[in-house]
Amino acid sequence: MLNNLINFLSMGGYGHFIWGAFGLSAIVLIGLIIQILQFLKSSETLLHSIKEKTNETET
Amino acid sequence: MFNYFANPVRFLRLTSKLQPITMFVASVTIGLGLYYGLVKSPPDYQQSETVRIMYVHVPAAWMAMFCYVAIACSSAVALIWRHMLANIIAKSTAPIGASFTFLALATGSLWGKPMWGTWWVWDARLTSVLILFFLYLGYMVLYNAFDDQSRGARAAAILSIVGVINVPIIKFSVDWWNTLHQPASVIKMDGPSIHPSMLTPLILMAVGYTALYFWLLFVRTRAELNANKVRMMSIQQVET
Repeated sequence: MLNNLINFLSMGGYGHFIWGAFGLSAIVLIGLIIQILQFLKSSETLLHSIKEKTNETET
Repeated sequence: MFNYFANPVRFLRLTSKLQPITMFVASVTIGLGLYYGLVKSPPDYQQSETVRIMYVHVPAAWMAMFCYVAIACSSAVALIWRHMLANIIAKSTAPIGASFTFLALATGSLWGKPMWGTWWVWDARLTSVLILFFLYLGYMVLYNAFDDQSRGARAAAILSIVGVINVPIIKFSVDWWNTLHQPASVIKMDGPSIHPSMLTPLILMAVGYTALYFWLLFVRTRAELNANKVRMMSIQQVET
């Protein structure tokens, strides 16, 4: 069981390169997702607050 | 069709339906693609296990070119019909495409070291993809380089259209020049020359990356439209 796992992780001796490529792809894409979702969130809060402000000045 | 969806309200209504669908497709296909790519598919008879890098390298490279063509096309629409939304789609695509290009270069390097014996060579394929990466960076810098957003958008749009000439150069670089990079083996006139056991994870990952692009594009255009609205409302407030 443990041997199987070690075998799988070593990837025939090329583990560094393969896990490096998959890990880097994961980090970059997840980072991109987080950044874009945060941008959406901050833009929504900003829009909300400015809408409230215009409502206040109108009343 | 362009005119119909150029209306931001209509566009947002459509994308709010497509957003969960693309997110779902992306997570399922990437999940399956990782399982098939890392576990189920066999090692290559020449490259042994390193062939698995293909499943993250090739889809990233495809998306790098796809996103660039998307930027150039929507920039052309923006220049000709002056649709504000087309500029926003191009602008929102840029960081996504740049990320895919970076990944194509980096994972290619991680594949090149064990198989070619070098991280990098200055040959036609690798150099033209590096130029693509710089085109993305140049596009993003130029877009934000002017106080007047519309001038930046115009300059960046022209840059992206001129730069589109690089895309066929990338595609055919492996046929036109001597290179360490292998020629195309999936998109060929006589069909793919890859065994189904390896083609399955490759296609799954490619579909997953495409769905991921559209999901992120929809989210980002929504955020950009919000930011535009904020800008216009704050101008109105100053004026009154």
